[in-house]
Amino acid sequence: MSPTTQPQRSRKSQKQSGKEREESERPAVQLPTAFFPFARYTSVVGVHTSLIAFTALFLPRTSLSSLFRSSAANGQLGKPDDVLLTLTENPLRTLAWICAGSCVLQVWWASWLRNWALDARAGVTEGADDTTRRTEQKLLREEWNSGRFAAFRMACLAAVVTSVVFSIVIILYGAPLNSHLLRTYLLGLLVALLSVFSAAYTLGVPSLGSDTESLVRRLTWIRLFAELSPRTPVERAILYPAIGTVLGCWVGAIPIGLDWERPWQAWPLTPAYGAVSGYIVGSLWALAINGVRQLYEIQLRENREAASAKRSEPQHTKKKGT
Amino acid sequence: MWSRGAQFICWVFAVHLIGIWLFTRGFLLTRLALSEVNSCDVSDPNCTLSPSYKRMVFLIIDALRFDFISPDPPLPSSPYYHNVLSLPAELTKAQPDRSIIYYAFPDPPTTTLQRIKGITTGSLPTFVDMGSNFGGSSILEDSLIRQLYEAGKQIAFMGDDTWMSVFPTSFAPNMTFPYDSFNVEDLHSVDEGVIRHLLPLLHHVGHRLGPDHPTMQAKLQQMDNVLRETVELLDDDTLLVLLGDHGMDRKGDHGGDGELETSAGLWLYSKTRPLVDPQADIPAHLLTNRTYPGASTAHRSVQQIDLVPSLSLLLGLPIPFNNLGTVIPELFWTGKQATSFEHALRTNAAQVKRYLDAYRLSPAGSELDSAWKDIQSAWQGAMEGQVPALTMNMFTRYALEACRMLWAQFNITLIGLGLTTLLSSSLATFAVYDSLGRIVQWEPWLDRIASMTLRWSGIGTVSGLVVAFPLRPYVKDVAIFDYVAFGAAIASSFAVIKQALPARRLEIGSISSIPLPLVLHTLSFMSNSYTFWEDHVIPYLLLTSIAPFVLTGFTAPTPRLRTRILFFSSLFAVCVRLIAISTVCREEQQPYCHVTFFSGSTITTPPGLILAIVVPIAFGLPSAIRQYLKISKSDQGLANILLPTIFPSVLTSSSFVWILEWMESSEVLGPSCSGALRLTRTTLAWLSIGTILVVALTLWWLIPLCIKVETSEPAANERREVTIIGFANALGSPYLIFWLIFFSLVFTTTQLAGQVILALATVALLSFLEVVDSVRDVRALNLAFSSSKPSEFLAQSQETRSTLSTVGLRFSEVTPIALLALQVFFGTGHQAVISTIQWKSAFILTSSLTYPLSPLLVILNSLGPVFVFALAVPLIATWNTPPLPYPPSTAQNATLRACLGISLYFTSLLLGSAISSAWLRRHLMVWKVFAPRFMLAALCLVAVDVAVIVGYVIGFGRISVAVGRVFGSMPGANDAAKARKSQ
Repeated sequence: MSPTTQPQRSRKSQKQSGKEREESERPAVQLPTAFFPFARYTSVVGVHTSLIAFTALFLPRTSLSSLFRSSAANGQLGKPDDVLLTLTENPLRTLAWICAGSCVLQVWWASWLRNWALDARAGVTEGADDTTRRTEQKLLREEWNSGRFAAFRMACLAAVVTSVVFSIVIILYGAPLNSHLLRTYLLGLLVALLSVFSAAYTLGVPSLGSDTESLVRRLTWIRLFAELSPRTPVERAILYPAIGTVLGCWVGAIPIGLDWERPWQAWPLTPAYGAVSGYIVGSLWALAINGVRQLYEIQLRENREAASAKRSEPQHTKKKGT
Repeated sequence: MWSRGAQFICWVFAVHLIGIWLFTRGFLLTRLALSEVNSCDVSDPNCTLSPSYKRMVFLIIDALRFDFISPDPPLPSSPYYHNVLSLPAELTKAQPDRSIIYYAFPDPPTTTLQRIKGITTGSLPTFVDMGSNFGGSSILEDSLIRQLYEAGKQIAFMGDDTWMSVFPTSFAPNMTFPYDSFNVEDLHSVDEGVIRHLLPLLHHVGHRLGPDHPTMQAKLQQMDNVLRETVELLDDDTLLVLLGDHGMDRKGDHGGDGELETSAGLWLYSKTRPLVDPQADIPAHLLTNRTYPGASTAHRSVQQIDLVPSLSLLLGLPIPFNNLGTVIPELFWTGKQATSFEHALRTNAAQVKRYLDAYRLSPAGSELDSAWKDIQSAWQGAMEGQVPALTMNMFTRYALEACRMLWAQFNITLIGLGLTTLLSSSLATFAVYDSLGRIVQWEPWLDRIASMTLRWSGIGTVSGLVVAFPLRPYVKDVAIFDYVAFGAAIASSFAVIKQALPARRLEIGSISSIPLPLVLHTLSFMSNSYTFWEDHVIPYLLLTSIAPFVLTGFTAPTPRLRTRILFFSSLFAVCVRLIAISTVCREEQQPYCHVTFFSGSTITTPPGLILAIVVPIAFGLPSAIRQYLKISKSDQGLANILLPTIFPSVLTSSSFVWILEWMESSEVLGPSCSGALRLTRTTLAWLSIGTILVVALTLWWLIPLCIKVETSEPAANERREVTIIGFANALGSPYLIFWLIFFSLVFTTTQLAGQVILALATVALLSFLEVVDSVRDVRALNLAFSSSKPSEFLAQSQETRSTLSTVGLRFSEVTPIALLALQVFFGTGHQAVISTIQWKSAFILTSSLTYPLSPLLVILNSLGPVFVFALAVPLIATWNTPPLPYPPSTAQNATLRACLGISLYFTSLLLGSAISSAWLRRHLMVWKVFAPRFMLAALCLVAVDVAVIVGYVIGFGRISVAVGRVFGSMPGANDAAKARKSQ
């Protein structure tokens, strides 16, 4: 587990994490629940959110970006003021870097999510040794993987289309109509990358088709993004960061109105950073909710086991003691 | 027609008025600016003294605090601003008979414009100086400048251009060099300019950097050098006066009445002629001293306005008519002889008495009621006193104190009473709004509440009277009426709250029902930035408020509903964004704002694009409305008469009125045509307003319904079939026509760009109504799907179903209408500042000022947008609501709640702005930003309340009567009515 995930882990009580470790050690033969790779999920979220934060705060200031910097600001790196200066001196450049960075990160994150979703759908349970089932899973995975490039293409297309939609919405919310259009677009692109891309890659792009598959897909999208009611951990991991992104972007517009005349109030820095922070908060929130639910389910199952098999008394009391 | 609930709405209105009245009396200090001029003959000894000086150099350094020139600055002294401008102290030490430094007290508000008025007129300017030039900033009161001008003296001026707006004509044109002072970032241009022509300002350094800054030192050093040069060049007949118009606080700001803000420096210097007699034997009681915070000794102090009579008499001019200052003794007292001083003081006291008498006789004379007796006796004392120097001084000082009490002090008691009234009334309104949504048998319940408001108002009146008499001696300036009004309002409010707010647990789920846009909007008034950017805040909140509807649209079970919701909410959003383009920028928004309402920031002609599209838009708007009515097939009846002919012609001619106005004022056709243009546009304006008021209103009153009844010929042995077209929207469509009548009135008084905005807003409004209607359908369908047996749901009686669809009126449906109302206010070229009042609209019906027509038109132009869109709020409750069962009890309930809802929204805004302006009453921006927004909020609330009463009582009342006449006898209608009665 990478060190970055430590804070998340420490949020849960020692007792819980102990139990969780126990859970992963125990052979999970008789538990037909959704596949939930808690440890891996935690570490991936940790790395992913840290990298997103890095993208927002450091990438626009790296030596790569200084290639494109105006010469005036060159050679002043190192002072604390410069952090803000380099981030705010050219909002367009900052936004472009954040978009580029999150583009790469989202592809990685979405493909991880997609794998998880696939495993969850295939009913992967660690330690299952039923060979026919294994074969079935393999076949499914093959089929799924073969559609990967098509799905990726569609997800990219969805992100591009929604980025335009988001830009229009942002303009409707009051962004300038006749100037700063590229900045507004980049903000729309950022929001689309953070909120829509991983969903489109994992769940597939909804269409207006009338066959069962597209109907199910459409209803899933509506249930997620209009009714805001996720059912599985994967859906939560998709939805909460998306909500966080949009809300963060919305909240981020508020400080622009203050008459502080600070460089960071330049359009669209605050909504962009709001979106990124919202995304991070949403990811961590999804992780927390998923973790708590998982532990709760384990608890429930254990209770059920305890009730059904009263003979396994000694193990049960031992567990209670931990 | 005096329908149920009308009494309650009227009570709400009355309580709002009381709250506004109490708060305004405590907060908005007003004074009547008298335009009389002291025009006595200078040769008359009672008029003035013989001049001691021929010329005067009058240097004002903005925000020159006393310690900047004090010989004894407070400890620890600052290297940046103490002993830097040291010439006054040096000269006073060297030549005590020709130089004197005073510690001056400038009266709050210490804002630049108010201080300019104070220094030149000697009066106590308030934020709102009522007078013939309400809204303009030029001084029409008698002033030192005016007296100089009348005496034929030449006045050279250089400096801040605020002075030019205040004295536009008094300065000699070839010696006048104004500089723009608004850009506080720019530290030097005004000063450089003044020094080039003569001299300076510290003000901007203070605002931008605060006093503790090296720039301050450099600036003061520069001033000191300039002063030294000036003193070099001074001749014998010239008096040099240097003063700060006000002080500044530790951060460099000013505007309030803090001790440092009201500490200004004043220095008088005469090069050769003795100015004061160091041997003068002046009684100590005539000389006041004040200690600067932190200084070791007290220093001779004067009121800043004392300068006005003193300088007038030193220059041999009559004292300005409005002056309340008292001559400074040292300047007139020589040796043991007080004759010269007594003469000066007598002239001064007589002038003050003349002013008070004139004010007493003016329309605002009753303000002096409480102090008048004491003023009279002080005057008696001054006339008969043995020591005139003492008694007359006492009289002028007493007069100043009395007036200061009236005009310059916030009355915290009244502010508190006003806020309490507004708060309790909004709680009471909310309680009733909430209960009406829950209580099924709401009619008798509301009757009880209404009679309760009456009874408790009576009880409150009596107890107010009872309390008033013992309290009066202890509480200043609270009249009997205030006690009575407050008692009535508060007693009835609490009675309503107690009755309507049952013990109900606050659920966690109720957090989600907190209206976020309202909360944010109310809180935004705490910040000056959001207050003056409100025209950008509102579209943001408006779009936010529509977002939940869009989300519901995606979940719609049928494609038709989904398309409708998404299409109409997009249309709404686009209209809102287009409205947001139109703005007249207010000063504080510069340089980030471009005027789009006019074709430029300095001209008031409409933009070319608007000129091109306004006529088609005005002509096409009624057919667009018709398209909306067609959705529910209610483009029948009255709609079929008015929409194709009357409304297009009225709206088009209203546009032509303003196009002709533009032609006339910009002389497109040359000056010769202006008479004909004027006549044509007056006629057109009268025609359109007359048509609306006479034809449209009468027709609506007689046949309000927009339905068509078709009777098919009965075939043999069959019952006759009656089809009513437009039944589904039988309540909403006539109300829309009623609304259009008022809309057209406002349309006529609105300038061209505003007319386009009004049209866009109408489309937005109707789209929103369709969205709300569809979202209700979605909700009802989802409810049906989620109930275990859909058939059971369908089998429920019609009454229950309509209850489900309309009683579910939610506050989130009212919020967009309230926000739209304000958005249209800003879009039609208004801002929350007095200077954006469109006076042009006063003259559309007449070519000269006519009472009461002209003020009425200006009110329609300014508050009309808010009024009209508040008037539209019953449409949310009635749109696509069928009139059966009769009487339409649930629709009436929803209408009443919608009315209370929008009134609540605006009360909340008023509370927010009132609290922030009372809380921030010492803030630099209070008179520029917070107080004007409070005034706007108060006016908007009154407009909304009136609109709601008109809409509910006249609009909805008349429609339900008419609906009853048509549908009341229908089968099914009576059953329901009977069923209700038997319950």
